[in-house]
Amino acid sequence: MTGILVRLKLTLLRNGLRRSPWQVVGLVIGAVYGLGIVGMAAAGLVALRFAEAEIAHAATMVIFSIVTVGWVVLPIFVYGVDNTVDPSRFALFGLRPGQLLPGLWLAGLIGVPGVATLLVALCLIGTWSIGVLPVLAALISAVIGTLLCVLWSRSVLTWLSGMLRGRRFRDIAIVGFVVLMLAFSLGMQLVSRIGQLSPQVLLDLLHSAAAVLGWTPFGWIWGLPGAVALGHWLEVLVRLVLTAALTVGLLALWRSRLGIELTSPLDAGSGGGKVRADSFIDRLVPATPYGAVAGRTLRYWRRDPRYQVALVSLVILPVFLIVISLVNGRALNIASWSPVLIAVIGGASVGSDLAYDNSAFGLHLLSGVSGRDDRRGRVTAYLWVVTPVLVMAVIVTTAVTQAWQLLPSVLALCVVALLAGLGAGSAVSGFVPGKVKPPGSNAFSSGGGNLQSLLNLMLTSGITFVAALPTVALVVAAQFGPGWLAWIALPVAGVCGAAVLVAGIRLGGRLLDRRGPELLAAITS
Amino acid sequence: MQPALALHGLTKRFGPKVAVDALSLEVPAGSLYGLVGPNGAGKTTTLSMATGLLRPDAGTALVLGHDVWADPPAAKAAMGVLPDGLRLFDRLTGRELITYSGRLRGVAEADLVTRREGLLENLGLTEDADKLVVDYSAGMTKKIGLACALVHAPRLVILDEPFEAVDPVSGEGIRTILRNYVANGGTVIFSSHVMELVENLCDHVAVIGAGTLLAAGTLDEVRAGENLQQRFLQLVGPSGSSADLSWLTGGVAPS
Repeated sequence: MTGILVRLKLTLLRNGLRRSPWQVVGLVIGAVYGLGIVGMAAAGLVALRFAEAEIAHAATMVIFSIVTVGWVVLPIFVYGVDNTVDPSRFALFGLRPGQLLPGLWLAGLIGVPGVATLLVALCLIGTWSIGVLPVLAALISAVIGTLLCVLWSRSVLTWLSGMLRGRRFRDIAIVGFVVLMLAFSLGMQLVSRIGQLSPQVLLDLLHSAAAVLGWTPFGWIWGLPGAVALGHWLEVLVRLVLTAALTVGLLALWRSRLGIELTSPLDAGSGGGKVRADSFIDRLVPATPYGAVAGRTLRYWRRDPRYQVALVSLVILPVFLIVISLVNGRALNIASWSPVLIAVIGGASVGSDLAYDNSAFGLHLLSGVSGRDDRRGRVTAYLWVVTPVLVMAVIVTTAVTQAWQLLPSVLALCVVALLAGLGAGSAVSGFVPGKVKPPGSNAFSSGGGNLQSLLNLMLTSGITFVAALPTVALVVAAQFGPGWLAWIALPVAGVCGAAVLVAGIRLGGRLLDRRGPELLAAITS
Repeated sequence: MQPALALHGLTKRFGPKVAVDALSLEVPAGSLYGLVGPNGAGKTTTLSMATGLLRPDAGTALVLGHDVWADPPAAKAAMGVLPDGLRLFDRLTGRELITYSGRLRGVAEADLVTRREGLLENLGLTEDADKLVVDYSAGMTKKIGLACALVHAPRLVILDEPFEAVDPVSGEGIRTILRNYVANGGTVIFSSHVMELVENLCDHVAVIGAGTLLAAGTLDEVRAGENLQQRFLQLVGPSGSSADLSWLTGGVAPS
């Protein structure tokens, strides 16, 4: 049974690669990236050999505890990408949990994350190559520790799988993950300042982190070689006993849940409850075809995780720029321009809105709604969403940077970028609609970006830039010449933006009327 | 009388494969028309070309005299369509989706509310009307699609596999709706794999195979004295091989 499951996993990996050459490219890039990380980690771990044993002990415990936590947390977010050996798929074969368990455990090790973790963990041997016993302890803890990582991840996933299959949780997880990643990169900005702290403070930090993490269940096994090397035999004993107890406990948990999963299969997760009727949206838009499209798009901004991710990124973007420039103490001038970025992205993104519909766009075709109403409706919804974000961003950045003299210039660029972007996107998507992930798909599965979408983006941003040229010229002149030029830029921006918007909606509408079926075929996946 | 739907020489090729080959068909006004054919016969492709979703390589489709491809607004206003294999805007609730469909069609707001609630009630969706369509079962999704196709009171209704995954109670509800609709002057054409259903419900039937029309007319004309199932098998040709599966019955050949 174990052999069958391991071979199954290998076959699935191989067939996945056969599907398209891009999968191979993805794997190679992933492998190169993974090898890079492994290489750096290996170098660091071997270098620790020459540090004091106390420090090496603390550092390795902290690092590997975090790795273990990663094994528990990350799969929750990417659930569904790799459920190749999802236990519920074996439900029809009448197997006992005990037969499946070893195979599922080993199969979890196969793949880039498992191999990378094992390789890095084996570098612990390098760290502790100061005696026979420490090397032996390092080898044991590397193998057992890696197996425990997989065991952790499988147990937790199996316990949560009922919840993870639910549509509602997946929606939240997608947005949650993006927020987490953004928060993480913001955190890294702050961490980069740690280098300015004194070495003594850093050491204290390391030791207190090790004292906590090393004694959590995630760190029990990873403290073993250090304890051996330092001759703390009581600690060695305690760690071994605790690890054994943890292994038995996790196995029992996994096994009991696996039994339940195998006998209550094919539960697609509980359906969602009722949705709050957001009738305020209906008050915002008229009860016409164009208003219906606008209202529907607004609801999608609220309910579709793909839109929510876009909205979160849009809001966080300027925060990001401000924090970076604050942390790095550079001139805040750059931050004052950050709202323009929101306008550019918020405007141009209407170009892929048609592709977000996927084949649901067929309803527009069947009901014979005019292309102009379609375009106007989408643009209206984007204006409702992006404008408040933009206004807030302008107010906040100006308040933080105190660069009041830049306000007219920033406003002018925002206006022209948003309006011209919306117009250009409306026209371009009637020509090359691009291709995005279908609704409800996992945000981390492969797909998405391709030549179509790239062309769509290039055309949209190209047209936007050309339309913004007069405004840009005036704004640049205002920075180096007389400041009042910026006040002329503002009406120029309004006129140029509005002209492109009207022309874009008209042209896009005509393209939609003429090429509806072809567009439907292009965006259907 | 003018036919509700008239297809003339509709042709569609996908690469070297001819999916629909010069297909002509007339659906008389006031008929309940069944469209049957094996998998891959070109039913969905034909209906897609008749409803404006897929541009034909050749041929025309007229809905109550309006050319679907020359005068789309008039033709599309006259028909309601339940497509197969298209997604819905499923992040809307059932109630919102019907409203959306109605507003796209320009239904007056006062009518829209009455029609929507009536459709929800008749299709047994009232209880789930405020849930997102993405959380609906396959049968419920079919029913909400049907409601969207009917909300603007079209003269012709084109339904692709309307009974698929629908439970017997709801199926009867849909049959009643369609019968009443036809009794009051509407025209229905729908595709199905279930011969008994077509035989019970329809007054006209067309058989499609390999992209061409094999037979069409009133139910009795097409049946020609046999039942529809037998006639269908004669027209389409028998199923392929009959490899030995006697092991399935423990080595005893079925009598």
